[in-house]
Amino acid sequence: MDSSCKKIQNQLADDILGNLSADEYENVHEHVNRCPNCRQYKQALEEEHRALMEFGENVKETIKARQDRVIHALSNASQMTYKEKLPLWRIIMKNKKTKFAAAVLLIAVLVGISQVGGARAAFAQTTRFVRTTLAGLREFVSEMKSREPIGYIDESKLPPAKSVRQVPDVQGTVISAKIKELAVVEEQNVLQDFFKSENVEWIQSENNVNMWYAKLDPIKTERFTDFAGTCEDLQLKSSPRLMLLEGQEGTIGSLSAQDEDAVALALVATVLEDDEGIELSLSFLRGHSGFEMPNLRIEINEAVLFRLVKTTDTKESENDASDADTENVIYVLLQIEVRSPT
Amino acid sequence: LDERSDENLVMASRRGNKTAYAQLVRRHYEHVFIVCLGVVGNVEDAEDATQEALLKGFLQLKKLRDGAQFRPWITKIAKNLCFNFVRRKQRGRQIIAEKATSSVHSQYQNDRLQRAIEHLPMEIRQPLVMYYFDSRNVLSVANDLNISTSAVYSRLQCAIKELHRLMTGQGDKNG
Repeated sequence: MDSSCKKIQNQLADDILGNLSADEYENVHEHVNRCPNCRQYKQALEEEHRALMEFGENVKETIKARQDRVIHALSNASQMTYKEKLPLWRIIMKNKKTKFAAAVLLIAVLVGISQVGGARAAFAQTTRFVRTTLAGLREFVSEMKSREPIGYIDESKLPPAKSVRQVPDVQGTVISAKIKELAVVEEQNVLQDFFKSENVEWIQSENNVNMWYAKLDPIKTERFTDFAGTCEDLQLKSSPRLMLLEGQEGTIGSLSAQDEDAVALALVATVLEDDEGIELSLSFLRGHSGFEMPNLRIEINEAVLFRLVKTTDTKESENDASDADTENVIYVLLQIEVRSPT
Repeated sequence: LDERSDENLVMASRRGNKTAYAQLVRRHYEHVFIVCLGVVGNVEDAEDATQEALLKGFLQLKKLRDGAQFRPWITKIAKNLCFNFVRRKQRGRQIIAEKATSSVHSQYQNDRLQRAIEHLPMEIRQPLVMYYFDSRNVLSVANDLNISTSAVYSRLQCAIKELHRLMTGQGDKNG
């Protein structure tokens, strides 16, 4: 290769970029026509240029899928965010004394729950102090899980609903809420068939693609609880009843029998002015996943069935040969009752 | 939601609104990804760095004072992650001398290209990636890298020649 070939090959790279003047272009191509080495070099550069363009296009086509993977990962990134939203709680948990005080408070919650007769009053009072953001709930559930499992409170053992009026210091409209959890193991088809036959309309939450909800009228609610109660493979369990004043925050926490997947609910409920409905703002915590639902309106006698999907990315487990995402689903039935002041 | 400004989306995201942050991800992903690709030179590594940067950004949004500056802010986070990534890797440079054939499968061609791009010096890789992977013109690349258009042409020319050398194992590096 002589010095003129070196210059021409530099210019061939410029030609690829369209950066040659007309005179330079003519000169380069005159040389290429009579020099086999430069001709071969030109063909190689053109082929590489096409390959680069094609590769660039291929990458651009996959951008959307790559974005989706980030957004999917984002749905699991709530824990740290919500901790940042609640510095007070972090401060409490960092300091041994405040942590001890919080533990005492939580024990009081557990004691209140375990003594069924006074459970509702104790729960209503103590939950006023439990922060109802997800970070607070997370710590709450974590503490609960670290203790002996207490299982679910049998609803039949709760005192009659009218005893709500005996709760001290309660004046004004009382909103009573309870959740029924349905842990689904393998009977998806049976459940799906049931929802289909009942024309249950699922709506996906705007805030979380893994959260769905359906409003159930009293008849459907009854059928659902009957169905879940009679199906051996489904386990429908009730949480303690939560009572709170209208507009006041409250939390419900409960433990599954396996103690693997606790669900907690933070709730604010307001009766709408026309007395025809209730507005709910709620946050669920399931394991380490948060689900939020602000400003959900329901009829006064409606129940809401939530479908919470927990996606586990098994890629994170090095010992797991499967690289497919796995899902498990829990259904939570939220029932609200409104008691006007006597 | 599409028309909301970055500032508004950042404010909503700070309150934990992941839908708003997802919108920011969609809006700025490609830019951040191209920047990362320019630094690390490898599509998979660029994706990892982009994802890490965007998730880190979500968790550190409170540190961003001006929401309108989200793009340069997140790009800076991504670049820092990429530089750390490159330092960690510290792979020795090697010549990829594989004979080119006219009948290569496109995936094989892409693999060879990617390996060659990865071994380009960063100062010539960045304009090459922006030019070919982000469909940018020379002026736009020059503005983004804060260099003259003639410098961009010069670096692109150098990148094209070096890429050819890496892919064919031919020629002198300086020739």
